[in-house]
Amino acid sequence: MPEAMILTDVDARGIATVTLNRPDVHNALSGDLIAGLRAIFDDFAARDDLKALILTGRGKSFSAGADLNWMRRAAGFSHEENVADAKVTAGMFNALNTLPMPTIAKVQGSAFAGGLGLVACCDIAVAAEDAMFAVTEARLGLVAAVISPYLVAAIGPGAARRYFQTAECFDAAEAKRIGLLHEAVRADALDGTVDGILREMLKNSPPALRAYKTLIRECAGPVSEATRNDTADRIAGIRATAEAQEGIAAFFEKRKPAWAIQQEGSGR
Amino acid sequence: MSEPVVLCATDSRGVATVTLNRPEVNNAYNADVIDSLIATAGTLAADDAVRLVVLRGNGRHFQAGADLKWLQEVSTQSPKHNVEVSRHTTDAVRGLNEFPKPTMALVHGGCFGGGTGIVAACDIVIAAEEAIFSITEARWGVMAGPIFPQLNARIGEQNARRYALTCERFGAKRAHEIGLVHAVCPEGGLDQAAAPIIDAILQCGPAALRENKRLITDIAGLGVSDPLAEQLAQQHAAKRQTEEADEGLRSFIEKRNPVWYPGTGA
Repeated sequence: MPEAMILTDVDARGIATVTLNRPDVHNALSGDLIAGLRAIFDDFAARDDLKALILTGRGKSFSAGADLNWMRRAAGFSHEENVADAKVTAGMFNALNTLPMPTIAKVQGSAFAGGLGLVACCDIAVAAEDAMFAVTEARLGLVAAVISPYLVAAIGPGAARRYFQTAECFDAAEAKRIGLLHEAVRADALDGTVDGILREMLKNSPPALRAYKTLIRECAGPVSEATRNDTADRIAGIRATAEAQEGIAAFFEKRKPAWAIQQEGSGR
Repeated sequence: MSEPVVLCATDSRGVATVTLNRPEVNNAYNADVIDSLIATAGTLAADDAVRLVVLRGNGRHFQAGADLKWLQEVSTQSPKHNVEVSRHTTDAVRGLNEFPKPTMALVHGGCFGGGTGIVAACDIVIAAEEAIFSITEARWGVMAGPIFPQLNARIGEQNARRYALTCERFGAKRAHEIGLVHAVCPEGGLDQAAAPIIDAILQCGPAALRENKRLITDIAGLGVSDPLAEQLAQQHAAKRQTEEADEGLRSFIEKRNPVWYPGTGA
């Protein structure tokens, strides 16, 4: 039997740990993985005994974002199928963002694109200081659509305008400076740091913490269903375009996409 | 014939460089600069060969804000004319803020008043470490209306409340801390600092970038509505025609303190 692509564990304190377990593909978010996460989040949302949830990844990367094999297949979908599929993804991020208990992203490795979206949907984010981050979508001719409400809320419009449009890699120190991370620590201190935060949190009243989740969301401006549908429409619209298909094809063929060729020799 | 107040050149990669070119007045803007910026933005937006726009200032400073001598002349004209001037200013900043391709400002020297608005309306801002910023309008008895939505979005309410109400000067490091600039580089190092970022943008799909930019504008609520723009223009124009603004602008021209300044009390 193949190993599960998501591992879950609940300890005696009521701390749930959800571990992305596709290390061979950098925990890329395939349709199956997204559906699996959604089912787990829905299941955990219904449990009153859970005090907190930790989201982490196994292997070198936290998550490299969308599985491009899966994204490539979307070219063959009808527009309606594309929209329906994007809404499933949007629903998973929403389920994580609205979990009733405190959530901590324990970012043990790099997070790109949709992987960044997972981090932004958690209440607290702690990363290993050698983790790298990037909003890579535009490099492939895509947009960071369904994760944008969470990411813009985390890093603010100023940083979004830079990193969405350059797709540059940035390090954990910069991720902390722009508000994506609360802490960036040595890899060997990651477990201890997260545990320290949990120990403080467990001193607090669980119903108070659950009340805060709703309160903070309401004060910060909740992500409406209309926004989730709108962002799903945007990614569905662009991923079937010739430019996006060229970008994804170039990725698989390990070459530069057509739009980047003209500047060869002038840069790197 | 005099030199154009805004220069524009596009390289073979599609990187357009727009240079503010009134170095004799520290690139202060007047009607001519505003008209040229709006026209240039229109041309560059429509040109498919243009992938991104870099904005910079010629001479010792990036941009000193409004040309206060011009502003003082405008203030003596009809209210109708004053509203038209303020609408035009508002449109220029809005147009830059919602320009459909990535925009980058490279800041050296002084960046004051409207200059801070230009910077806040660009997607990416790099400042040389000697650069100095200030939201100067209130010092001259006028207001920063047309640039305020962009400034507030960029530096947040907490910093807007301080810097628009004190008109304090702050350096590049502080500008980085409050989010007005994305990166700080050594003096003279703007081109070197910009190169890898420009290269990163050129690796991205042009159509994807257009969609990305529209997405950020919508999700972060960065667009300025027509009614808000009109309100800002009306307030901006009306404040310019008050006695206080008259005194403030005169104090600048006459190089003296305005009457409301009691001194440090020391």
